[in-house]
Amino acid sequence: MSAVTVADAGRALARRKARRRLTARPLSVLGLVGVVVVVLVAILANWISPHDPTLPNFDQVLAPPGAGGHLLGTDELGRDVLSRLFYGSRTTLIAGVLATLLGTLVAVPIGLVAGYFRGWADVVISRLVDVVLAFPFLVFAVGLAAILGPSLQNVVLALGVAQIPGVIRVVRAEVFAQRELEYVQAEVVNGTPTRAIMFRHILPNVLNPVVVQTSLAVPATIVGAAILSFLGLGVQPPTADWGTMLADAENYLGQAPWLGVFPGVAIFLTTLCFNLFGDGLRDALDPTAG
Amino acid sequence: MMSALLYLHRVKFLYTVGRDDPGHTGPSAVEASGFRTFKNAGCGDLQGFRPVVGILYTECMLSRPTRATTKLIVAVSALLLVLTSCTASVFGAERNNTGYLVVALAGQTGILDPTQSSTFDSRIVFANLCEKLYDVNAALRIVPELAAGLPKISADGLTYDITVRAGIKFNDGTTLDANAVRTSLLRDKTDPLSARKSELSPVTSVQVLDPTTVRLHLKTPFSPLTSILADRSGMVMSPTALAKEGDNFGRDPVCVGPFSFQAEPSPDEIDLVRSPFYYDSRSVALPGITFRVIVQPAVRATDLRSGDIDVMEQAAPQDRTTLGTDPGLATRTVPSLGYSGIYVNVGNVKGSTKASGLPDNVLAKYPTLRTALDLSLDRDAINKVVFDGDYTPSCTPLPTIGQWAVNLPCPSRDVAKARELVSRTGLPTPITIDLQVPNDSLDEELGTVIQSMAKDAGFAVRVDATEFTTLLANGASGKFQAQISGWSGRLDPDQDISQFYLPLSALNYSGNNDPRINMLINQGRTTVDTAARKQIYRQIAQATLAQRGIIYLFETGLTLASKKGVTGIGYYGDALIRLGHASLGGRA
Amino acid sequence: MTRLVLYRVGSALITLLLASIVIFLAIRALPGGPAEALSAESNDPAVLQAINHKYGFDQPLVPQYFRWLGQAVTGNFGTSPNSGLSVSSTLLNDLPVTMELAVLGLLVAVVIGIPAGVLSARKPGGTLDSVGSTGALAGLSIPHFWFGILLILGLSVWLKVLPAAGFVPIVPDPIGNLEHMLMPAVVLGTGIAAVVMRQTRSSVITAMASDYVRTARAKGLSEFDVIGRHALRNSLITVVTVIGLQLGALIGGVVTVEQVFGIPGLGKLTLDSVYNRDYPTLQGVVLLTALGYVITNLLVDLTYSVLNPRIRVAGGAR
Repeated sequence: MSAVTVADAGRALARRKARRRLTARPLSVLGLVGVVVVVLVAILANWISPHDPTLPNFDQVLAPPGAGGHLLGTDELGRDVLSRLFYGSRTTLIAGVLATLLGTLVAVPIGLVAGYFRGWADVVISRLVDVVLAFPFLVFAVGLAAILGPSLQNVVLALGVAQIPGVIRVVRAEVFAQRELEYVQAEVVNGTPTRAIMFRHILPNVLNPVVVQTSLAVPATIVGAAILSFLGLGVQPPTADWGTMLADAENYLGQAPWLGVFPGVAIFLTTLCFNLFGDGLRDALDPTAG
Repeated sequence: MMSALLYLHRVKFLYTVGRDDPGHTGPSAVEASGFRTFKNAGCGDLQGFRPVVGILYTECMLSRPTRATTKLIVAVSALLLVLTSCTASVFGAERNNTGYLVVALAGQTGILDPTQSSTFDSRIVFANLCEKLYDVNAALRIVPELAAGLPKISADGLTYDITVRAGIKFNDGTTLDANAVRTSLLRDKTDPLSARKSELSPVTSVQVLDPTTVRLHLKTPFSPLTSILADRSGMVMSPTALAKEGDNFGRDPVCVGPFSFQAEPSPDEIDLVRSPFYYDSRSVALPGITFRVIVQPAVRATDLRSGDIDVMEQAAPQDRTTLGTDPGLATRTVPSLGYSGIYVNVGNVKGSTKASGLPDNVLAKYPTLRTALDLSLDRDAINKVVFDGDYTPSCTPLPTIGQWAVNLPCPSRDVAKARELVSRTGLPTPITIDLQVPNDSLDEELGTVIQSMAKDAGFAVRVDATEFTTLLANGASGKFQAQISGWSGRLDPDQDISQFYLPLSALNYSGNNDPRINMLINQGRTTVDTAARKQIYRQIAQATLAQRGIIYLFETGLTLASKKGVTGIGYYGDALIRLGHASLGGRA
Repeated sequence: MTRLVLYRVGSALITLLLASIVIFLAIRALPGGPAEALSAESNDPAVLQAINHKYGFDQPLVPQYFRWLGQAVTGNFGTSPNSGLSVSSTLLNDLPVTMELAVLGLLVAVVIGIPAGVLSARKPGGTLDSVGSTGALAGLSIPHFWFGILLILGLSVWLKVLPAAGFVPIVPDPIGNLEHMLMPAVVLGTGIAAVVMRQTRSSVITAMASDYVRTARAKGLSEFDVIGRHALRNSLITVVTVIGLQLGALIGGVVTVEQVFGIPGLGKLTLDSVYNRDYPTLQGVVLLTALGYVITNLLVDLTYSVLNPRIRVAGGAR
């Protein structure tokens, strides 16, 4: 299959070019470094946290930053805010990454089918995608939490489902374009099985936009998870979670404003790093877009 | 969200412009068919780039628009702004209630029909809209309101004679008489949607003796009846309005009251206006009241501080200090009749209205574990940490205030004894307990504190933050091991106990069915003598404390906060807000 | 053309119908019903049954749905069992509040986004561009609700210049209304401003390279005139379309913004009606939301097909 070999070589070249474009942008590199730091914090939370993040101390509630060996103070139950921030990075990353993965894994095959077969399959899938997009996401998330109870799994599930329509659309649009290209037509003429064409030949060629979409979906999902936690649909207490910390802090803004600042900074910086990296990735992989 | 209409205008216009522009659209182009690459297809399809909650990366290119297009865009944008303010003014017009006292409620009121209503906050609105045969005073003693005096109860406790005051007019100008009382009571008893049925069930018939006197016949003596007539069952509705509105009475309720219903533009706002027909209208100073529902306590507090509202109920303990130190505001905290506690599922297998059984729940199988759980808790510490000391530690369904107060000493924290009780069950520790709590910050905080205290005694409490209606549904159907719940409290102790302990009662989420408690409850409601009743309720309190189907934790303390200039608010232990004699001070 | 329009309108109607069926079934799958939710203090089974009967919730789902649909197409969304109020009047009451918030949010987005986009586009890759693009990413990264909390802390708690939360109707008190809406609008507008900025930037960059701008330059027009009169003006339509496409973002954002600032709008109504299991209200508000989404999408697609036939939308021509 000479068409495939040429395509493969082309892809390898494109990858090298992309890597060069990505590393040439200091902001993207900064984003990547930030992402790595957050991941390290999540992995090392056990060792770097000065206190037990779930251990209350009723004699030292709402201690301001710096007081009594608590660098960022304590919350309304006397728990160490810094330790809770460290541990909170875990739920944040799990929610952001797993939900995106889940959505992508479900959506890619559906998008492939819609784009490859077109016709009725496409019509049905497109209508369903429209319905999901037209449906207020929060109603879905609240309903899910009402039925299954709030928990990290359900946050992942809700956010994952919300990813699906976007990825389907991206994949579908790409497959539409690819399907008409010569190398695919050649395979069709050669009598290659449809499944092989879809997964072995078309899929690798539509991955770039999917990667871009995914890298930009992770930060959006992190914010989404924080919103769900903020609305009381997140993890179970006493698990440390940034969005939940903010929700709890809202009651204490008058007495302990710092409680409302630190978790927000954490969410913001993490999201920003993911976005900087994702933005660079997009420019690198898909220089024609935007 | 933008209105659909709004979008229609905007994009329709683009569409028209495009079509009129020959530079971009020709017949051939329109007819052109065939499959194009989708990659650059319409922007609508690029919506795929919308990641979940909120952010959109869409960058797509269009062909060159014309200058006219741009002008029109600007014009339409301007039009949109004008349109918005116009609709806002049309719909907002009727809300121009200058001089009205703005009161923030903590929850929605639901239907404003005394017969059908079943929310706590509706009672606050009714306190100013619908007077009752009886009311309570600051000491929580029952006093006549529309009735001329306390009911004359026959020696056997089976008939109640109630005389209404003469010359009282409903807010539609019609006259209140014994017939009106009868009509209202019968509606409460027979309306299929009536939430009053069970509390009035001992009443068999209502007889009009003379134009101002009714006689209530009972099948058994029922001591709580007078207190029940001091609540929604005692509200007298205008028969004229009832005949006219029927089921829709709640959309324009007409009663006797210092204020009459003006409008309910949304589930979150109710306007009342001073009534010209009220018998004591000369002492009513306010031109009207606007009730506004603001659920989040923090938002209520900031609204009060910024002056948007005049009065708020249920200030969160965390906000009380801030509000109290504000020179322009006044707060008062009253111990209320309500309580909060842990409902333990001891016998609710198929639902609270079905026969009880033994659920698969260690706390039901080993009653001593309930004692152990109780002993692991430090009510004073919880009160200090979670409620800033506003609540009163309590361990019985009876209030700590008013004439029925029973102040039993509550068990204090004893971890050693709790551990011993746990180990005596022989169960492997930690014993896992699923505790459902409403998913708001304060309740989750309470759950977390319970979790950490119970841990010391060998319990692993899982705090299951549950959406509120799901929590209620789980309670009613028995799908829980333990839940945090509360009750706003009633005047008569029977109303705080019987529904939660008698078998088959809808609110008996725990599935309590203790023969001795059942017997005592029946004794309590059929005994007429107050002193004797008091003794019975003392025994009930002791029995419930020993049984612990409900582990009572606190008597809720409630804080009312208002602007300093607002005077004359009646705020007692029943937590209603009586504004008949209130005034806005300098402003009024 | 007619076939394309018909196809698109048909698809939109099907989407709406499906969405209404989904919400109809989904809300009924939640534990507890309106009767249970609203009678927290006295849930007598006979009364619950009577409530369900009165509102027809005890009927089989299929006729129940079609009865609702039949009324909904005439604009009658039924009565809320929770408040006893007509759903349409509640929607009409809350809609202007959310509309005002959305319009002001978009205004903020445009006021920040367009100038920032133009400045960035003048020298792609330059310092201004880097600052602008990073700023846009920051705007995209900041969680609405936290930004709201920060503004409340800074401007209300600390500086005491703006009310922290709540809502005042525009009519008796337009200034108070704006005071209350300012922070929510800024919060809502920030994320959208980032999108507007990026779109403006890329459109202007493309326009600057085009023939007509080159012609304008050749005529000796000043840089201001070139950008303002030609490049920007011609980019506006794309920007406006992108703003239109922000509906989804607006809906998502409005709920949390209304929550943080305690504004009684449609977002709050949506959440309340889920919590209250208020079937008719939720069905009404979701249908309205979906309608907004579907119409926007529809018109955007059609506009595109008309304005630029080269990018005909697939499916329409078949």
